[in-house]
Amino acid sequence: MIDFFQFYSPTRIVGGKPGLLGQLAPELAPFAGLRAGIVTDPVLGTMIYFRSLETSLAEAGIEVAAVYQDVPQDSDVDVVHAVRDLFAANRCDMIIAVGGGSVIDTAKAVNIVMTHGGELRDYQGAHILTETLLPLVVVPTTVGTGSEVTMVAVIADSQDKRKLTLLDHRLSPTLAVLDPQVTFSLPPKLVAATAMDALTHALEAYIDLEHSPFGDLWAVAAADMIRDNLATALQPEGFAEARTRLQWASTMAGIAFNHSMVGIVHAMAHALGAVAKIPHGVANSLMLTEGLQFNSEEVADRIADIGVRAGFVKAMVDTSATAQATIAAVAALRATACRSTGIPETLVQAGVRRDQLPLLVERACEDGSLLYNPRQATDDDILQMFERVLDG
Amino acid sequence: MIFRNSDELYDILGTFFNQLKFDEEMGKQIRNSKIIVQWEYSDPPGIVTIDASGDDPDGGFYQVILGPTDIKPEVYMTMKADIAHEFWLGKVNLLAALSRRQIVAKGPIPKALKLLPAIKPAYSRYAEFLAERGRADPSV
Ligand SMILES: NC(=O)c1ccc[n+]([C@@H]2O[C@H](COP(=O)([O-])OP(=O)(O)OC[C@H]3O[C@@H](n4cnc5c(N)ncnc54)[C@H](O)[C@@H]3O)[C@@H](O)[C@H]2O)c1
Ligand SMILES: [Fe+2]
Repeated sequence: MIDFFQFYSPTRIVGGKPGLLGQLAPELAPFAGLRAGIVTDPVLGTMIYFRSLETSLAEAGIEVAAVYQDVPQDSDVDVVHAVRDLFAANRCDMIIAVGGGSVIDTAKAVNIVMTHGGELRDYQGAHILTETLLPLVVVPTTVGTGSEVTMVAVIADSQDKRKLTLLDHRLSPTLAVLDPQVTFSLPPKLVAATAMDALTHALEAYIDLEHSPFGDLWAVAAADMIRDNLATALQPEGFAEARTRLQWASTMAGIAFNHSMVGIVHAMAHALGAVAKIPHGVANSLMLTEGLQFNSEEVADRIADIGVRAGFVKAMVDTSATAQATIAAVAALRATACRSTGIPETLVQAGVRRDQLPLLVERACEDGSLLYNPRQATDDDILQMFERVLDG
Repeated sequence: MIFRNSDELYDILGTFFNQLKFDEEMGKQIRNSKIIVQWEYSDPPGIVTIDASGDDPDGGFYQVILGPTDIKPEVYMTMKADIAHEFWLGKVNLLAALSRRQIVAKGPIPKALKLLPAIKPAYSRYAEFLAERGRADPSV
């Protein structure tokens, strides 16, 4: 029996035809009269859809009081504090994020320090925020993190080389805008990598300790949609519909893992990000099948179940055979994505050195995601997984 | 309320933790983590701090401080004393308790939660400890 579950997804989600950002005034109307601070990165700030959003903001009576355009990949505490200073100086009372997970998480963290004062490090933890946050409008531009609907933000702390995890229902954005057009400027490599992140969210959420029937629905729908659309989304043309669906799927996967969290694949991916600077999606893609294989000893039934429900395989009499077939189908999907875009398939290709393995294992072992993983892992289990992916 | 007042809370939980700090197996792992955890209880109020960052004057694996202290904890948790009691009996699903805010945790939580497998033997130890003190069923 399930101990306890809850389902809570407070973010208003809007989507539609490509170009929605230019026609967003009705959805922005509730924020009329506010002074917006926009967080974005050097690539996205130059995009044509960014200008369209500015037009909608003006139409809705929202003044853009400040724009921070320098969020790096895997943003850190110093960036958060710099944005806070800029927005505070310009008396911003709402925040808009246009970007991938790095930008969105930065905006969430800025929202904490702007409303609670002090340093970001003071707010590590779960459900400790006490003040109402500023309205946060999020435009996700990758098809990966799902951060537009999650209560989680992850920010690097360069000072002690750790990642700060901030978790609170209040961090859930107010409005998430899914404009398919933003996905059209994504290079295929980024589509592949971030979609693998989303697929990992869906699969890990489904097999995790805290899974529930309510989260399962979103995980299944997301995995199914990614399976069905990834290859087409990576084609040089005719990808519009498929990328749109990947965008929906990544948000759905976000809703799923916002309830049951992620597991061992993410623990290893976070380590690869921290130690070897491997982009989050690529890191998940590298470790996904290893993690599933490891978990299949404990939860073959759950792996088989999502494999069937999400259309990866047909149900067989034997559950573990179905689970193995599911893992093989996921591996095949991943191989297609990697080979057509050139994203690495081994740790060495991704730039990892053998002498980094001990540190990778240490970091993965102290990652919070492991707590939700259905099978307990030893240092040695994790080392073996990294070793198997090291050199192909 | 399981504990009628703060004195009783310190008497039970405090004494229990002070026994536990000599346990070889659990003690070593806690010591290695160098963690400082503080629990602040309500109903009845009480504060217990476990400091594994240095030596224990009593020769245990970590120091147990009962009541207010100047030591700055790395991980700080608040909960009703009843929840703490159930936790040490192994009856609390910590992940659910955190999401229901029955336990509120501040700081690098994974570091503290990582010790969960290590402290599992404490659950049966707590039940035995209560029985020895004639409190087999303290909820009565
Ligand atoms: N909070 C959460 O729920 C959550 C979940 C998973 C991951 N994350 C975090 O998210 C981060 C990764 O985010 P990400 O994978 O979205 O990548 P990202 O935000 O780091 O962006 C990667 C690159 O893609 C470029 N880019 C983004 N959108 C583009 C577009 N539409 N067109 C062209 N270029 C574009 C960016 O400029 C950047 O160079 C990590 O820090 C990870 O820890 C957060
Ligand atoms: Fe992720």
